[in-house]
Formats: sequence, C-alpha cells, structure tokens
Amino acid sequence: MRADEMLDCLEFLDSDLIEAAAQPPTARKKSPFGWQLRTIAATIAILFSVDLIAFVFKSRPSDVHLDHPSQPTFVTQPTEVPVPSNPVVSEPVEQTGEVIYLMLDINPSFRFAVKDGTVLECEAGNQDAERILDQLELVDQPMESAVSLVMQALINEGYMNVEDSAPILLLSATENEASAQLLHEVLLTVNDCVLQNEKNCFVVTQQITDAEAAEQLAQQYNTSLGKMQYVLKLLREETGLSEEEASALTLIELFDIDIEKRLIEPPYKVDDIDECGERALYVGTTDSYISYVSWQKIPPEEQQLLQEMYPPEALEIMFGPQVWSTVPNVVGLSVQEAVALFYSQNLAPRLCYADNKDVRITEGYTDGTCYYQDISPGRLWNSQASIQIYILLTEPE
Amino acid sequence: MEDAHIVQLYLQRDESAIDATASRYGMRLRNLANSILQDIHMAEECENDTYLAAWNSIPPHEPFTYLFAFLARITRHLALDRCREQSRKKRNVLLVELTREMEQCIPGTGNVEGSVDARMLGVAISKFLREISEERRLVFLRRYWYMDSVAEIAKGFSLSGSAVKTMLFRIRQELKSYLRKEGLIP
Repeated sequence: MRADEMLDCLEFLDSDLIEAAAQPPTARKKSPFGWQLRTIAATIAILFSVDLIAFVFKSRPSDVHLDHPSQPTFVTQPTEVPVPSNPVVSEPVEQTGEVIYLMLDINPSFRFAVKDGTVLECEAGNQDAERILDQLELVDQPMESAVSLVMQALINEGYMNVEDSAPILLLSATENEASAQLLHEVLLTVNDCVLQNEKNCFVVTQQITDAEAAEQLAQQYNTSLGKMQYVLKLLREETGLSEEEASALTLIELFDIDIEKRLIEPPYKVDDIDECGERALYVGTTDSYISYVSWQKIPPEEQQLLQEMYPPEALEIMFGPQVWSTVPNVVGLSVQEAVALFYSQNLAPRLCYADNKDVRITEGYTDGTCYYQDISPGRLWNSQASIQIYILLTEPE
Repeated sequence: MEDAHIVQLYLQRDESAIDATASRYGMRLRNLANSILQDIHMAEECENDTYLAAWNSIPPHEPFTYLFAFLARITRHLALDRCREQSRKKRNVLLVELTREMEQCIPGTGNVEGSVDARMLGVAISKFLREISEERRLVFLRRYWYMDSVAEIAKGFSLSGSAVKTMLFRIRQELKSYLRKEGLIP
C-alpha cells in the first residue's frame, strides 16, 4: 500500500464520523484557565491564573509517584548558590511594599513570606522541608538566592532524582499585583538550577485567589496550601474525585489529571518528532517551549539535521546560554527583517515557507513576507526553544 | 429540504433532486473540493460531477441518513483524482505534504502491497477514531478527510500550529500502532 492509497482509504470512514467533522471548526471552547496559562508569563494581572512552564529532559512514565528516593544522602555543608546562567531580560521585581506568600511544593513543602524581593520568613510545611530548612539561612536573603539554595538542597537530597521520571514542582503565590512577576522570577531561578544540574522537572505555577478558603481546606485535608489550590483548580473540572480523594493524590497524579483534562497541553516526549520532522531531544509542553541539549551531546546525525535546518547564527543562539526575551511581532515583515528582529532578541526562528495554495489565510501579504508566527508576540520565550515563522511563497520550490 | 426527502427525489428520478442537493450542500461540497484542488473553477466542476455521480448511484444507494457524507465522499474522491492529474503536470504542495504525513501510518511503501482491503482499513480507522478524544478525532478528520491546512485547524481549535502538528503526529503514530495491533499492517 502506498501513502496516497492510505489517504484514499479514508474515504471508507464511517459516515457519522465524516458528518460530525463536516463543519469547519469554530473557536474551541477553552478551559476557563486556558487563557490564563498564557498570560501569567507576561505578568498580566489576572484573577486566577495557572501557567505551566515545563522542561523535561526525558520522558516521564505516568505511573511514577513522587515518592522520595530511598535514603538520600544528606549534605550538611551549605551548598553553593548556583549563579543563574542568565538572569537577563526580566525586570526586577517591583517594589510594592506588599507581602507576598510564595509556596514551593515538590514533596517537601516550603512557604516564603516575601517583601520587595526579600525573604521575610520561611516556614516548612512538613518534616522533609524542616530538615532542609534546618541547614539553611534564608531570612533577609534575596528571593532568588533563597530559591537557589532550596533548589540546590532539593537536588542534593535526591528529590529531583526520581529515576526515569520528572518530578512536579508546584510554585504558588498569593494573588497580588507583583506576585505574577515574582513567580516568573522564581521560575527562572528554578529553571537555571534544573538546567545547570541536568535534572528533570515539570514546573507548574499558579496564583491563589482565595487564600483563606484554600488554607482552611489545606488544614482540613492535611496538605499544603499550594497543593490544595491545585486540587481546587482541578476539581472545577469533572474528575469524579472528592476534595479528600484529590488531596490524597501525589503531585504527579494531579498533574496527569491536568494533562488529561487538557487544562495544559500534554508535553512532548523525547524521541517524538516535532513539526518539520525534528526529533525532540528534551522538551516541555507544546505550550511552553522546546529546549535543546548541548551541541556536544547531540548525536552526529542530529547535528547534521539541525545544521540543515538552521543557519550558524541560529545554532549559536540555540546552543548558547539560555536567554529569555519577549517574542517580537514579525507578521508583515520581510523574511530578512523578521529574522534580524528575532536575532536581536536572542531568539532563533525556524523558517517555514508555504505556498499560499497550502495556507489560505494569506490575503494582504506579499511573497517573502511573514504571515504567521506560531508563538504570539509579547510572550516571554527562551533562546533554546523552538519558534517558527511562516513565510509566504506563492510558487513552490 | 430534509435529506430523506432529497434522496426520495433521486429515487423517483426527479431532476429537482439536483437543485435541492445544490441548495443544501453545494457550498460545502465546493469548499471541500476547493480545499483539495485550490482552484475554484475545478472545484465547481467537481461539484457538478458529484451531482452527476449521485444521480447515477442513487439508486442503488439510498443514503437517507447520511446524504452529506455520501456526497462528500464522491467529491473528495473526484477532487483527489483531479489533484493527482494536476500533480503530474505540476507538483501539488498539499497533496505531497499529506501523502508524506500518511506515510508515517504505514511501515513503508510496497510492504503490504495489495494485502489490505481499503474498505477494511477504513473500518479499522473508524474504530480507532472512535477510541480517541473528540477533539483529536475532529483535528484528524479536518486534516486528512477535509484536508484543511494546519493553520486553519489551529485557528479553528484555538491551538498553536505546533500543537496541531504535534497532535497529528501523535495520532498518526497511535494509528500505526493500532493498525499493526489489528494485524492490518506488519
């Protein structure tokens, strides 16, 4: 059988399936949280937002639980604070004078009180966290340093070493004008620690709108405030679970529900072939970004593939230090202008040329101009991530 | 006019069946053909050929409850045939792209030459599509049955282009595994 015959045999699909798909789709009904996923990274004030920035280096079987690895080695010496490889592009946390409570849950559970970017107080939510905090002095530290210390301790303690899996790290902050930005800052710090230590991790960030109610439930079900908020968010969907049952689930199990309910985009797995046939080397969700391992670690055949797809300037950006910057709007620009604009932002776009016969949304654009970009302008994006721009080309090559 | 009534007109050999069909489904059939052919004039010819084919095939067929699917199948078939005819003259980007994508659902060209009945495969794919979520099913059908572009699907489903491509890739992979499990491909 040839591929075109395969295309033909679809003719014999059941009539009801064909009828059901007959109408071109109108805009899909989004989850009440879907739009918020995208806005938190842009630090837009919202009532309740959940954003996921996930980065994994390996695939994660869904049946792995977030239990602590057996008897981790406890490091008694203070650990070195990793210097963020690129604190870059983001603005410093705004000085609002308001106290923001930030929770970090992975299994050990931490709660920080933060004012103007400095830790006022840090509490352990459970015994595991208590053991870690006993070794650290976090009060009066800049939030970035405090999170780096905690992350390094978690890594040293083995909490990020769940074999063949990527643990879920939940970052939550009480809702506040500056909390979205604080979450973003913390996310970058976490990202740096994870990348520098070559660990795997999914990071889910959320803001807590009604902290008092969530706190009461957290106490009732003996769980952390951050996890309770995550549970409450998931229970707004039809999960068939009670608050008590959901609270008893691990973060990984909750995350799986999140994916199943499509509140977040499911992550790529390693070895998936992404658009344009590029193999995913280590990747996150389709809604966040795709990262690349260092050049040296890529097999020669993969290097060759990337060299064919990207010019040297782009490869330099992709395999250089990770930089976060704002995606420019290049729709309507010429290919040269668009690429130059991306490079100036330390982003390496992949160019997709399309015949306007193939894509029929190109009215008003001339040949050689960008008519679509797959990542919206204004979003924060990182230099190691995949981003595509589509260039109109009337005559196919 | 209801589908059943239109089919009844065909069965009575009443030529007003054609007008009724055109009035009810003409635009959708034309759009389907245009999606494949990217040429409105050829799409209109396809639409007219569809009416003729329907006239010749009802009876024996009696698509009382699935008239649109019945007509759309004819239109799609005719459009693909024309598209291939055109491809011999000039490469058709869409067809090449879709063919490449469908290659991922089969182990390789020639491996199962003639071994699988297309109708049987159609039944198996229908069964597979019923097992996946509605959204994924619709995305698959819009791409490979109605031949919408990825950009159109992305817009319609409020997904990014990458998400659509990833979703399609995964469905193709799952379909391949499914067909293999069913013994339809090696």
